[in-house]
Amino acid sequence: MQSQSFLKSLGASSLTALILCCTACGGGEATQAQTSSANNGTDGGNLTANSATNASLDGVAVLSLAVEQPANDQDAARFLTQATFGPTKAEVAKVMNGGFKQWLNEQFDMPPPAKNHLAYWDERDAVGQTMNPKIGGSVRDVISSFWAHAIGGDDQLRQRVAFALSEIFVVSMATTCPAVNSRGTADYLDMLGRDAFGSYRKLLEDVAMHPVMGCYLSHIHNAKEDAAKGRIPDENFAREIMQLFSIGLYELNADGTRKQANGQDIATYGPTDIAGMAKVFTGFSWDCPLPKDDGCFDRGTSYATGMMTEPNKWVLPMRPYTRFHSASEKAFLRTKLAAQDPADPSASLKFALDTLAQHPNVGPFIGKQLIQRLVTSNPSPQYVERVSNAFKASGGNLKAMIYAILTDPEARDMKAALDSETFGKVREPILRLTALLRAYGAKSRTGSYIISFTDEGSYGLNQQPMYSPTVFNFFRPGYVSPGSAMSKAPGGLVAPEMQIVNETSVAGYVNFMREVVAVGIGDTGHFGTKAPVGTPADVRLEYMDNLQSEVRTLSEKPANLVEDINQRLLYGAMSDTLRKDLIDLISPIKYLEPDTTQNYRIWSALIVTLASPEFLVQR
Amino acid sequence: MSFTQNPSRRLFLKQTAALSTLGAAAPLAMNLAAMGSASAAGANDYKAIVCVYLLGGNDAYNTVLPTDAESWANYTAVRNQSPDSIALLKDVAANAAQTRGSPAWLGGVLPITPSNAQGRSFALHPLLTGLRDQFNSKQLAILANIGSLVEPLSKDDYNRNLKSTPSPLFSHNDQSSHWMAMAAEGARRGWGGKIADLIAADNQNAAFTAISASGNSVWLYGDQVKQYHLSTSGAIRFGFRPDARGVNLLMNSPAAAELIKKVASEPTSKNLLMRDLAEVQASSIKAEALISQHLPSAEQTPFGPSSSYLNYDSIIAGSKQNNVLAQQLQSVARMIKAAPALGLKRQIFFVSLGGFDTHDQQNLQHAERMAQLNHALSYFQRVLGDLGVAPQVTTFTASDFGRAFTSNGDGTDHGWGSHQFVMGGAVKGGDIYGAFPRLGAKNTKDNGFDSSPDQLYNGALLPKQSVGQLSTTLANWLKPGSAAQLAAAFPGIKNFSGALDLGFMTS
Repeated sequence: MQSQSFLKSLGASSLTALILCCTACGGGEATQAQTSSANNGTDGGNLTANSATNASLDGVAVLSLAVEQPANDQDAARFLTQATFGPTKAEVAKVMNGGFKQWLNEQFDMPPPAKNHLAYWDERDAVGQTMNPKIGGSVRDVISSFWAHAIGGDDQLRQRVAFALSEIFVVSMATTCPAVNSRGTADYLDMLGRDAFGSYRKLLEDVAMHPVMGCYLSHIHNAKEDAAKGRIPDENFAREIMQLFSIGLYELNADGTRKQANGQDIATYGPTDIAGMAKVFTGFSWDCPLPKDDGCFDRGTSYATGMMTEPNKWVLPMRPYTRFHSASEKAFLRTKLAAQDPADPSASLKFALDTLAQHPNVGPFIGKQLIQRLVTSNPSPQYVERVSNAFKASGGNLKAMIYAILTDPEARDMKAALDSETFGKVREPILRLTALLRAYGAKSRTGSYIISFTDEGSYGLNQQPMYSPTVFNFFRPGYVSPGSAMSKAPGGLVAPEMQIVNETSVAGYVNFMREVVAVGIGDTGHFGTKAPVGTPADVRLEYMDNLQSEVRTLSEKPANLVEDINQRLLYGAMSDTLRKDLIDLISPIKYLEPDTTQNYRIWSALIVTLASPEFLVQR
Repeated sequence: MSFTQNPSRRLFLKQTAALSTLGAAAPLAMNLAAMGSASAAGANDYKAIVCVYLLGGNDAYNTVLPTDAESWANYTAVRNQSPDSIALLKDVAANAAQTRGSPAWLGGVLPITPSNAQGRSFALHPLLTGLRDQFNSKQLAILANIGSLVEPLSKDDYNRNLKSTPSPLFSHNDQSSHWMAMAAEGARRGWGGKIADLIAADNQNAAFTAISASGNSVWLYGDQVKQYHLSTSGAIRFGFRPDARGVNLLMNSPAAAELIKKVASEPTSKNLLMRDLAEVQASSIKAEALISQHLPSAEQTPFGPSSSYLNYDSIIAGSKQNNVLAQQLQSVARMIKAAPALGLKRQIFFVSLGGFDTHDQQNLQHAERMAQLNHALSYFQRVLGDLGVAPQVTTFTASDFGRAFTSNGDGTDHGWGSHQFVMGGAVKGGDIYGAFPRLGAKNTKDNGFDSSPDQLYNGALLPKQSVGQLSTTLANWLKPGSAAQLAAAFPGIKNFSGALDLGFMTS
C-alpha cells in the first residue's frame, strides 16, 4: 500500500505535526494522515515529510506533510513553475542545492524590494515630468513595474503570490479610478506583496482600507443611511468582501466541498446580511491634512485649510470619519454589533473583519483559490483540507498556507501529475510570457521593462496585469468551458483560465509570441515621444544580443537545442512526438549566414513549442 | 518575411490591418459579386438573433420610466438623495451649465406612447433618442419587469419563502448566468446555445451558428454547438502569413507553418486541458481559413468608414469616442453579410457592453452607457436596413439584473427584475409587453416597499416575466415550433407553460 510506505517515511517531526493537528483540530488526525498519503505516487521515495516549523516560518505551526527535496532538475524546475514566474537555470540550481524548504524559507525571509512598484512609478513619473510636464506616471508604469519585478525580481515567491492575490482581491485599471490614480494601484500591488506572507486578517484590513479598493468598490466616502429621507449605504463592498474576498456564497467544509442541509447548499449570507455589513463600511474616506473635516470625507481635500490635499491620498489607508459612520445596530452572519453612541467606525470595522477572518470558510475558500492560481485547477478535497488545516493551525497565516500548497505531496508528485488526465492548469497568458522571458534570460535595455499593453486578444495576450474586466477577475475559479472535455469528465472539474481562451485569443497569442521570440518586446517610446525607427525592443532575450550565447551554440545540433527548450520551458516533460517534430523542422534550416541559421532554428523551435498544448498546460 | 525592429502595440495593429487587407484582397473582389447574388437569393431564408448584454446590471429604473403622477412622485422622492440626485427630470430642457451627466444637464426624459399604455404614461432616458425614434416607428418594443425566474411568484410568496427563486439572487456572476443559462454560475449550456443546437442543421458550416464578438459567453453554448469567437478585426491568422503566391509561411518556412497547425491542434497526452486547448486552436485555424475570404471589409459601405460611423458623443470625455459596442455590432453585421456565401441560414450572436454596475457616480456613468447603447443600436439597425435584412435580424438587450430603487447617495445597488428592449423589423414595436410595475414609497422603518406589490427590499423589482419566456418567444420566431424543445431542455420554462410566447414578434 502506498499509504504504508509513505507512513514509514514519516519522521519524528512529522509526528509532531500530527500531534499539533490533534490539538488544533480536535480529532480526525489519523484520517488526515491516510488521506494525505492516498494521493502520493508509487515512487514516494523522494517524499520526505516534515513539520517544517522553523525560524523563517517564525512560530507558524505548519501541518503540511511537506515534501522537502526535489528528485532532480526537472522536479525543481516544475516546482519553480508553480512558485515563481518561471524557472531559470540559476534558481533550479538553488532548489537542487538546498531543497524546497530552504528555498521557500529564503524567499519568505527576503524583504520586499526597496524599488517597489510605488518607487518604480515615482521614478518613471519624475522622468516623464522632465520630458513632458503634462504627462507623468500612468497605468503603463504600473504594468511595466509588474513585468520588471516578475521577470527580473529576486523575490519571486512574493511577487508571484502577490499576482495570485491580485486575481482574488481584484482592483482593475480597466476602470477609471484605479487607472487615473495609478500611483495608488502601484501601491495596492505592493501592499499585496507586503502582506503575502503575513496574517490573512491584516491582508483583509489593508485591502478593505486601501483607497484604490475604496474607489473601485465605491465604499470610499460612503455615508451612513438617512432613514428620514430614504438613502441607504452603498452595498457594493459589503457584498464583494463576503462573496469574493473572504467566505464565498456557500458554507464550506474544510476540504472545500459545500456543506448541505436537506440536500441543499447553505447560503453564507442573504440581503439583510449585506445591508448590515454595508453599515460597517460607512464613514471611511481619504486621509487628509488637518483638520480632517467634511471636505476630506467628501473629496480628500480639507475645506478648512485652503483646499489642501494629502499628496499620498491614494496610498495612505482610508481613515474613519465618525460623523458619517452608521451608529445603528449592524447585524450579519448570525452575529450583531449593538447600536453605538457615538458612532465608532474603527470598532465596527474590527468587529466585521474579525467575524469574516474567523469564519471557517476562509481556509478552504482562499486556500483552494491559491492552489488553483499556483498549482492545479482541480485539487483533491484532501489537498484543500491539508491546506485549510495548515492555515487554521497557524492562526490564519498566509505563509503557512503557501508552504502547505507548494510542498504538498499532491503538488510535488511529478509522475502522478504527468500521468493524470486532469492535473494541472492552463497557463494564463501573463505567465506564458514571463516563463519565456525568464527562461531565456531576458533583460531590459533601459532597465525599466517597458512592455506596456498586452490586453488585446487579437494581437496581444488577452490579459494584462491589474486589468481584469471586473472584480470577478479575468476568469472565475469555477469556470469550465461548456462542451469541453473537462466539462464532460466526472467530478465537476473546472478550468478557470479557459475563460479567456477562444479562437481569437489563441491566434493573437501566437502572433504576439512570434515577434517576442524574434525581436523581443517593449517600446521605449513614452511620455508622448516616439522611439526612432529601428530602435530595438526594450526587453530582449539573451540570444538576441549575445552571438556566443549557449542557445546559439546548441542550435548547431538541433537535438540539443530541442532538449534545452525541453528543460527551460517544459521541466523535461516534452513528448517524443513534439521532440521529433521540432528536430525534423529545424534540422534542414540553413542560411548563408551562420547566425541567421541559428536565429531561424531558435525562433522556429520556440514558436512551435509556445503554441503546443504541452507548454500551454502547466502540469 | 522580415521582422520589424520595433514591435510596438501600434505596429502590431498596423501589421494586422495591412495583412488582412492584403490577404483578403483578391478573393474578396471575386466573392463580392457572388455574395451579392447569394444574399439577394437567400435573403428571405436568413434569420438571426443578437443578444446585446449590458454587463453589471443596467438601472432599468432610469432607462424606462413611468411618468404618471403617483409613480413619478415616488420615483423622485426615493431617488433624490444627497449628495447627487439620481432622479431624472421631466418636461425640462437640457442645461449645459449644469454638472455634466446630471439630470438637469441631460434635460427631461423622452415621452413615448405605447399602443397599450396600461392606463399610464411612459418615457425613456433623455439620451435614448435613437431608440425613441425606433419605438415610434414600431421597430422597438419594451419588455417590462422581466428577470430570471424559476416559477411565477408573488411578493407574499417571496417574503414567506414559499416558491423557488433563482439563487443566489443579487449576485452578478450568478444572475448573469441565470439570464444566459437559467442556472447559477457553472452552468454548462445556455439557452442561446440550445437554440443553436436546434438550428445548426440549417447551416452548411455549423461551426458558425453561435458567434461571440465579445468574450466567452455561456449563453452561446448548447449541447452540441459551441461558440465561435469573431474579433472586431475579423478572424485572426494563427502565426503564419501567406506569401505572394499564397503559400503560408512561419519564420520564413512553409514547413513551420504546417507544423504549428499540427502541433497546436493535436494533443500529445491524455490530459484533458491539453485536449480542450488543442480543440480551440484547431477551430481557430480552420475557421480563419474559411471566414477571412468572405468577410467584407469593416471600412466598406454600409459598415464603415469606421471613423464616421463608430464614434459616439461621449459624455465623460466631452468628445467623439470609439464605441466598442458599435464595433462589435459591426463585426456581427459583416458576418451577416457573409452568411450566404458561407451557407449560413440561422445564427445567434452575442455582444456586450461593460460599465453598468453603477454603485457610484451613476449620473455620469449611466448617461455614458445610455449614449453608447443608443448610438450602437441605432447604427446596427441602420446597417441592417441598408443590407436589406432588418426583418431577418432581431436584437434584444439583457443584463445581470435591474438595480435597486433606493439611492445610496450617488448610485444604486443590486436588484432583480428589469426592463429590456427588443429591436428589429419583425418586432411588433411601439409597445410595452408585460405589466409595468408600480413604483411605491419606501417604508420609513426599513428598506422595504410595502406600498408596492412589485417591489422588494431596497425596491428591487420582483419580475413578472421570465427569461425563459423571452427565450421561447425568440426561439419560435427563429425556428417555428422550437419553443417546446427549449422548454424541455430548461426545466424552469415549463412553470410558465401556456405563456411561452410573449407576443412581441410577428410570426
